[in-house]
Formats: sequence, structure tokens, C-alpha cells
Amino acid sequence: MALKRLKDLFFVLALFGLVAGITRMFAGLGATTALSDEIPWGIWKVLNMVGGVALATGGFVLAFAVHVLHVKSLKPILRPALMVAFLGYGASCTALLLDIGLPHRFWHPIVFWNPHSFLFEVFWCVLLYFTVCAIEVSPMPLEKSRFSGIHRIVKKISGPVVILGITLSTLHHSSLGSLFLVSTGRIHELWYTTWLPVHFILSAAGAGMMAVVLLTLVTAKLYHRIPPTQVLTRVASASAIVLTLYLGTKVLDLMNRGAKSILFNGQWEVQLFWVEIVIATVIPISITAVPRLRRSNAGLATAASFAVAGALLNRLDVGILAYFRSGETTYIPTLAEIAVTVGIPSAAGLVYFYFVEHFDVFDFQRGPAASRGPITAFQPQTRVWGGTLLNDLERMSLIAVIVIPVALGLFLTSARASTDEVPRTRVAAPTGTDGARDVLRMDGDHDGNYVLFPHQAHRDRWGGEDSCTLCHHMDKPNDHQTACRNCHRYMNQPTSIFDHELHQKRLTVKLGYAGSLATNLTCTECHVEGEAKRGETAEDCVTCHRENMRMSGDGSVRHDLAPAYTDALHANCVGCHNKQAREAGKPHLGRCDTCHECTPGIDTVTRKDSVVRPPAGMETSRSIIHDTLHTIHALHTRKAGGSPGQDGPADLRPARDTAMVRRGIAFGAEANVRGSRGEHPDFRKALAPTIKTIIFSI
Amino acid sequence: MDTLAFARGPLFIATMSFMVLGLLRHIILQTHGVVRTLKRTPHQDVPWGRIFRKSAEWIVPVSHMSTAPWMKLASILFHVGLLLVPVFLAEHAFLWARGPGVNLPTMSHEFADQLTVLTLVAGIFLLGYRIFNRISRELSSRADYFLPMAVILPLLSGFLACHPAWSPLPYQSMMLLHVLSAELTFILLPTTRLVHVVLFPFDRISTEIHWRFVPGAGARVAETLRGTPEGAEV
Repeated sequence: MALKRLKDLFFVLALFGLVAGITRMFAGLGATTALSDEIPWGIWKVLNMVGGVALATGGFVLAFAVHVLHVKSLKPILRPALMVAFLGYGASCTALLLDIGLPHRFWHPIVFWNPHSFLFEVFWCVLLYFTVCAIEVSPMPLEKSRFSGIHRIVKKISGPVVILGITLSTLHHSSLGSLFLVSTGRIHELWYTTWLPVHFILSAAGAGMMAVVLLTLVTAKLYHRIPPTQVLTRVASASAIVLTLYLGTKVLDLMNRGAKSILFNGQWEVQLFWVEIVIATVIPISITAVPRLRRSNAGLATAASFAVAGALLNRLDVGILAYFRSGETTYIPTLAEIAVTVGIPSAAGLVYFYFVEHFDVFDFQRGPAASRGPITAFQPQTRVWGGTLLNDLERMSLIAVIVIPVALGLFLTSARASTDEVPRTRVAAPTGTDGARDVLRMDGDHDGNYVLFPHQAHRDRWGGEDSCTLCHHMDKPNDHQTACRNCHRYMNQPTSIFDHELHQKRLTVKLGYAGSLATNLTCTECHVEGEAKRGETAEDCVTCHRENMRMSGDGSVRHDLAPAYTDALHANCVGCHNKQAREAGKPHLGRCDTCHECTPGIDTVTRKDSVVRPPAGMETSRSIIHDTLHTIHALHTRKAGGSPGQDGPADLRPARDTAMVRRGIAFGAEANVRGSRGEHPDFRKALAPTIKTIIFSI
Repeated sequence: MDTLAFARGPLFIATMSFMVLGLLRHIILQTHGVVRTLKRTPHQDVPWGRIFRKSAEWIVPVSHMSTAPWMKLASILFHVGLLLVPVFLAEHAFLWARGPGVNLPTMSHEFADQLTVLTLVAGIFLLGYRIFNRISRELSSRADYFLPMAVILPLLSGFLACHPAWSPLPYQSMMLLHVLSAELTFILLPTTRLVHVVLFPFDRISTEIHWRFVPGAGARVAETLRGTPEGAEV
């Protein structure tokens, strides 16, 4: 019964994780996680990937003991250990697939080699070792199947495969530690040491064996079997020795670096360090040191739980808690992140149960198969169509039907809110109404609704040739009066107009750098050495482009982000028009219908925002268009006094910004989408009394 | 997030997907059950033609119009209105286009209004019939009164939201009532007798297949279903 409930729980958690994972695939990392430029990785990477791999180490350690050292007594738990390795690495790969920015490029390191990267080695080791694990595990299903030929081949190659697996495992566990060596000055000094690779592999080996012990005990308990306590005691003792070694290297290293002075200074990181040391090493070692405790299942289970939790806490410390303290932002994982972090191990657990129930994972587990239980005799009231025949299917599908909607409601809406599709419409060039292009017909989204802009008349009124720069505020390099649409390329999204890669390449050539990674030498041309490399802190474009690019450059304006076409043009025109309306006594200049022809007939409205245009087949539905127009009107009148475009991308904050721009959101466009749904900002106030009325009347 | 935004956002997605998945689950489970049962009965000759014909008659009970014709007419009208108005109303077509991206044809507002009123009248007539007709009353359970009312509520609140002049509540609260009552219907569809919207064909199939059993099979049904004698381990 406990097993059944546990499976149901795992199924629920796995479904939550599945929905969150799918949402991440479609909506992107920015929309589903709390990750940002400051927090480039989170709990997926640290707990599922780095931590999961660490706990899966039991597989290679025990394979080494059984196949190389020929410790035959450990053989009964070799298979569960291999299962742990296979599932642990499978879970890690899944988490990693979700965690990398472009999941469909997961295969790139296979083809595009970057031997300078620690992660390149980690990738290859994890990939190969996962394959090795799959080969090592494959006899379990194969020996029960008809494919005896394949089974024989697997048996033959198993020797070299085991050796390969051991080598690979040793390599990448230490490499995961080496990875953090890059972050000098970021990780707290209690954890940061050149011995990190050694620490990582020792703690992984110790905790990995304990994970096998824990899993064996839990499985035996769940399936009412007698666990091989003697064997487990030996494994736990070996693990305790490794953990002692780990503790020893840690102490030696701290002494060596002279870091012992900060061990008692009361910083919260120091307290965290102590907690971690006690959980990960002191408690498991002490329990295992007492003969009576290490020979009892309860003692073993306690020691193993602490060791496993301690190893996870260690990875969490190195990867997040002691790492991002300098990040100036707080990382709080989103619900979707937590769902995936919990869901992946749960799914792995379900696969494990399947293996245990269908194949010979445990030697001591063999016994009579569980009975399906009697089927009740047919009575008129018996639900032949329901529970009697379809117990598992009915229950599982019921769980899915309840869990998936809840998960969708939780993850999809929050992701949608930030990625709500605004059509990405490339701005079309304005056409002249005559050959001289004195009057321009501006129809950016080419939907037939246009604004007639008397270009020549504006020019004449404001001073001929000299007046161009009043509106054409910035040129492309070596260009003259660049057209609006060259930078403001999309109707509703801002455009990133700074080509970073191009600048790197040009500078490399210009400065004569050579070598395999010569472009990296150009960083300091714009960024300050030793500081975080960001757009805001980089050298202003004007510094180099004063000669060939005219721009309003006093350093306060960012030149790398061009607002959406509608925002930019509204900002450009409305600001001036409003000013003229006030100062020149021409109030009509500030009205929409000065540019947008707006007559009472709905079909003749010239400007319909593409965001709120009703779908095909609905043009006759007057009420919606009316609503929409009212909304647009309300939005515009609320903004009266300032130009509508001014609260556009200019005041986006940098961190969220880039993510938002990546997802193609302009604030202006977002406001329009909100408007089209009738979610007015002051709506909460308007609704509050009525809700109260409803509640009280009920 | 205010209540209406919550009801239109997360709650709508959750209840809508609950309805879709729940109804799908019923179809899959029933199909699975039919296949399993058919495999274990000795008589495979299921009269599919008759099942199809009876189901069609069940949908449009024209041939049975002689008894209680008004009730049946009201029933047809009630069902037609309940199916057409929520799907093809112009405002809802907007939701269809924005959510799953389906462009549906729409009905005119005048027609939608007329159909809604007719449906409401038919619904109230059916409810009245259930209360005042003795046979109906004695066959009815509490759910039989509750479910029609629950189904009518989104229709009524939607109609009043479209015609604010007649609405006793302000537009926004009427809209909230409309959205919430519709979501209640979404939840009720796969969990109550309303599941007949997808299961009505299975109704006939299961009846037919039950006839395949030998009369008086009684306790041996379990044996038949399992394929082994009673009491044996499987």
C-alpha cells in the first residue's frame, strides 16, 4: 500500500515536472525560470545535473570493486548500483537538456569541438558514460527478452565497457569541480580551493555508495524483502573511509590556505559550511564507526540519508549559495523550476520501480509474483465498465486528468503572460503618393490602413535641409538621414541594432590580432578590464562613431536598442505635435485624427493596431471592434500629456530587459494587448466593491 | 492578480484542460473496456448497424415525437442552443482564435440572442416539466435539478453581460459570474452525468454487449472476464 501511494506521488510529481518542462521548451527559459544574466544557472543544473551525477557515482565505484578488485561479496548490490548510475545520469542529461539555452543544439559539442572548455570534457564524459551505463544495464531487460543474440554480444563487450566507464567517471567528476575553478573570487573562500576537483570526486564516491545503500534498504522495505545487511555494512564502511579521506583533505586544505582563521567568524556562509561538514561527513562517519549501528538497517539508513543530503547540500553551496552571494540579486526558483527539479527524480523513481518489478535487479528479491487480487462476481450493481477491470489505468488516468490541468494553470499562464505573442511584423517602406515623394504613404504593417505624412511640407516648415536631423536623429555608419525603418524594424517589438559579433570581427582585423581566439582580445576596446561585461557599462558608441555616424550622443542614450516602429514614430511625432498644440495655439495638432483618419464608420478607421485586429471571419462583429477602439482610445487618453512611446523601452531595466526583448515584448505593445482584453490598470479598484457585493449576497 | 483576471487566466486554462482531458479519458477508458470485454465474450457478432441507428435516434428523437412532443422539442432546442451558442458566438470566436488559434465562423448577434432566449425558455420548460410531471419527478434525483440549472447559469449570465441594460449587476461582476459559472460547467462535464456529451454512443454499445452474456451467467461472469476458474491465482 505504501508502495502504491509512493508510486502515485511520484507520478503526480513527474507529471508536474513534465508540464513544466514542456512549457519551458515552448516558452523559453526566461519565461519559466528565475534565471537571468546575473544568475546564469539554477537548481536544475546544480541539484539535478551536478548533484544527480554525484549520487550516481555508486555505479562505477561498485563496478570497480566487483570487476577489477574482484570483491565478489558485493555482487548482490551491483545491479541496483548500476541502476542508480543509469537513472542518475539519465536524469542529469534530461535536466541539462532543459537547462541549456537552445535545447535543439544539444549535439553541437559532438561536432563543434571546444577543447578549452571544462564543460566540453564533461559533456563527452557524461555522454559516453551514459552510453556505458545503458550497456551495463541492458542485460537486465535483455535476459528476459527474446534477443539472446544481443545479450551475448553485450556480455562479451562488458569487460572493456566497465573499464571505460570507470575511467570516464573519474575524469568528469573531477572536471565538474575544475569547472568552478574558473570562478576565482566568486565562490566563498571556504569552498573555493584548487583542490575542488579532489573534493568533488571524493565526496561523490562516498555519497554515491551511500546512495546505493539507501536505495537498497528502501526497496527492500517497500517490497517486503530482507535486505543484505552484511553487504551493505561493508559498502557503508568503505564509504565512511572515503568520506573520512574527504574530510581529511578538506581540513588539510583549509590549514594549508590559512583559511582556518575565518572558520569561526560568524558569517552565515561559515555556519552553512559547518552544517554541511556535519551532515555530509561527521554524522555518517560517526554512525558507521559504531559497530552496533552499522550492522542495523536503521543505523545504515540514517547514515546513508545524511551522506546523500550532505553531498547535495555541498553541490548547492558550491553552485549557488556560496556562488551567487556576489551576484547582487536574490535567486528564488520559480514553481516551474522546482517542479522539474522534483519531477525528474520522481520519473526516474518510476522507471526504477518498473525495473525492480519486471527484471531481476535484486537477487534477494525473487519470490512469488504478487497476486492481482480477486475480481468480484458479477452483480447487477457491479461497475463492469469501471473499477473492476481497469484499476490501474483508471487511477493513473484520473491522476493525470487532475494534475495536468493544475500544472497547466500554474505554469502556462505565467509563461504566457510574459511571452504573449505580439505579431512580429517587419516594417514596410513608405511609398510616395507621387514621384517626388512629397507626401509619404506610411503603412508599416501593409494592412491597407495608412497615415499620409506630408514630408516635404514638414521640411519646408522647419528649415529645409538643416531640419532633417530634428526627426532623423541617428544615421547608420556612412549613411545620410537613415530611414526610420532601418533601425525600428518591427511594428511592435524593439530591435537590437548593435551587432556584437561584427564589432568583434572588425576590431580583430583592424587591430591586427591573430590566433585561434583572437576575437577575445578585443573585449577591452569597449569593456573595462576586470568589470562585468555589459551593454550599460561599455564604451559609448559615439566614442568611435563620431565621424561616420551622427547620433545624439551625450552618453545618456543607449544606442543598441531601437524601440518598436509604432512607439518610435508616436514618440517622434506626438511630442512635437503636443508642443505645437500648446504653444502655437493649434489644439487639433494634439489629436489622433490629425494623422489617423477617424470617421464614425468602423470600416474607415485608418489605424487599427495589428495586435488587436479581430481574427478572420469576425470583421462583422461590431461590438468587439467597438470595444477594441474604446480600449485604444482609453489607453491613449490616459497617456495624454506625455507621448505614448515614452514609457516604451527607454525605461526598461537592463536585467529583465534583454530577456524581454529576446522574447519580443515592447511595453507599448504589451499595454495594447492588455487593453484588448479589457484588463485596465485601474480595474481592480473598479471591481472591488462589486466582488464584495457578490460575496456578501452569497 | 484580480479575481476576473485569475478566472479568465489560470483558472480558465486549468478547467478547460480538465474538461478536455477528462472527456478524453472517458472515451479512452470506455473504448478500452469495450475492446477488453469483446475479447472475452464468446459472441462477437455485435450489431454495429443497430447501435449506430439507435444512437442517431437518441440524438434526434423524431420517431418518438408522439409521446410528450413538447418536452422532446424543448429538449432538442435546449441541446442545440447549448452546443451552438458557446462555440459560435462572435466573442467566443475571439477566444478560440487567441487561444488554440482556430478561426471559427460566427453567428450574428441577433441570431445568438434569439437562440439564447429560446434555449433559456426550453431549459426552464424542461425544469418545470421535471418538477410538475409526476413520472419525471419520481425518476429524478437531486442532481437532475442541479445540473440543468448549472448549465443554464453561464448562458443566462452571458446574455445579461451582453445586455447591460437588463443586468442587475455591473458588467464586470456579471462577466465574473459568467466566467466562473462556465468554468463550473467545465468541471461538471467529465465528473457528472453531463459526461453523456461524449459517452452517448457507448451507452448503446455497452447495452448491446451486455446482451452477449448468457442469461443467468451470474457469478461466472468474473470467470468469463478473467478466463480462469473462480479463485485461481492469476
